Amino acid sequence: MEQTRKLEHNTRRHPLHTGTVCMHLCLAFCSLIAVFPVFIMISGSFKPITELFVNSWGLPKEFTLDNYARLLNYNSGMILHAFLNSVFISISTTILQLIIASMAGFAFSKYTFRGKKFLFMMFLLTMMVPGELLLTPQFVIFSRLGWLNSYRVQIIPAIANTFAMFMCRQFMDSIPNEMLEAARVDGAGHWRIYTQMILPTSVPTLGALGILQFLSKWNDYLYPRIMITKVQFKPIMVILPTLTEGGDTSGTPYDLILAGCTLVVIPMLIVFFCLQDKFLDSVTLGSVKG
Amino acid sequence: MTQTLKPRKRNRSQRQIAPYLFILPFLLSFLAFFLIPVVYSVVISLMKYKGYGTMRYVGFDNYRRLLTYGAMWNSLLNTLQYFVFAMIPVMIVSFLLAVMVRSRVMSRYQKIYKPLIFLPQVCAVVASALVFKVIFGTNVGAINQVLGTSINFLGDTKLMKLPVITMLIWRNTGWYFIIFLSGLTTISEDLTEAAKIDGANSVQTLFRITIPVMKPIFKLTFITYAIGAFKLYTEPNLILSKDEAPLAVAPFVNMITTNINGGNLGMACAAGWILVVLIMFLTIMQMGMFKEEQ
Repeated sequence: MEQTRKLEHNTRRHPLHTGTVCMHLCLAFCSLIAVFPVFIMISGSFKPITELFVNSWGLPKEFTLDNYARLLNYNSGMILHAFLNSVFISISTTILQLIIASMAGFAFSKYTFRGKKFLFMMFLLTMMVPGELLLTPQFVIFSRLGWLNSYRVQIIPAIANTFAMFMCRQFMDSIPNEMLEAARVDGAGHWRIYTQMILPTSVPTLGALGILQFLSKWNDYLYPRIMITKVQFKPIMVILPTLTEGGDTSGTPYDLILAGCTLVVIPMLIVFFCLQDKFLDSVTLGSVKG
Repeated sequence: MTQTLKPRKRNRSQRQIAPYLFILPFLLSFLAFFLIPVVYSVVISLMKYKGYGTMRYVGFDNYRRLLTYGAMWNSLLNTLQYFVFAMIPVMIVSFLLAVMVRSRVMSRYQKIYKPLIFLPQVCAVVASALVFKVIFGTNVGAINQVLGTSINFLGDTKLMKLPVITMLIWRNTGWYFIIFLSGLTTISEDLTEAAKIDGANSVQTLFRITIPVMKPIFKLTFITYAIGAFKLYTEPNLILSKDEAPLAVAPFVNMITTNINGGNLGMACAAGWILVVLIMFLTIMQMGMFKEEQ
């Protein structure tokens, strides 16, 4: 009865309802705007600079790979080096963050111990403090320690991530205690329970969290800009805006910059289209539940 | 008897120590790279310090100078403008898009529209800012070429905020679209279906059911957006210059970075604390909002 009514309802609606058409138009228009800058970036990266000045928004009329060749040879291969710097820094930071955050989250979720409430409240309060406040004291401390201009300054200070720890704890709360108790009776130690039961069950959460942390480190601009002055340690995001050609500081080499942007964006786009659901999960990780 | 007790005793003491060991790596890096710097920044904010040589105690002088300094208020006003003028369109557009994608007739096309609208979020901020610099450029700019004009978007103080706000809208819409979309899934189909049977049209359903039910999510996103907006740095600086945007359009965080670069580390820390106070104010507002809800 219910189903037939639904069917009736569906067939009665004309397939080209004006409302539906309007919605399609709206959505298609917004999608187009969303994609447009990416299109300008990619197509522009195949245009010679002279064409950019007359045709910066269409398809390339004079297709060239020269921009990429110049980009890869720029300052004796500096771009590729910076790109690999970024990959190395982002991946190692993310992995370390996930390890220590999941360990701490496990303790907060599955143990009772003295000082638990105090520690938890302390971590909670610090989530309000923006990283921008830390910039200056960290700069002073690291310059005294001689950490400026290194890889470690870009990795180690970021590994204690309170948000990641909270997300781990929140997920682990949903793992039934009976399961862990059963393993404990069977003689599993604390470390084994963590590595063989908690971690495998947490993989979906850790994956979404990993994407979020990786992207924020990959995108980071302000922190390395303050801490790193030596080219050798700079991540690609700090290098890109500073591209200049032939000692000419007045004219910006837009063709080179667009090729560089494409180089940075394309790998992410490919990963995104392969792991779409994970990406979209990572957005809602901390926002809606709270 | 003693043999059976011994392992149990060991177990218990292990169980007491284990959680501390699990927390230890987190706690140590937290202390070293968070708590110590925070405390240290209070100290530096009361000093005159160039980054080398000795520190000199000046009391609240740095704060007083910042608060009476026109550039600080100016950058705060700029940040507020970037925040308000981008947030309003972002919230409206992303919510409407989410409602449309969520509607029954669109369920088949969700798979196409969702990733496309989210796409800007996947593009690196730095790269996007540089592309917007090209789009709004006077000679290389797509906008000027399409219009056949040569408007100086990136140099005219009156127009300079426009490219930044456009990019903020472009980039943030996808994020809030996904958040609203997942919020909409919490509204049960029965509710909207019942309204439809009672003869409500889709506009009535939107205003009478969807928007009231989504109210807590609106509040939450508003606060998280506001907190993020005060930390704005990359977009205006990269679109409007090669390193630091001119004062007239600089965001608040520039008060920290220019003072670090200029060797006024005390002032930089004081500016950092002003940012903390602003964010704390917003967070307390958020807590108040949720209390009111209950």
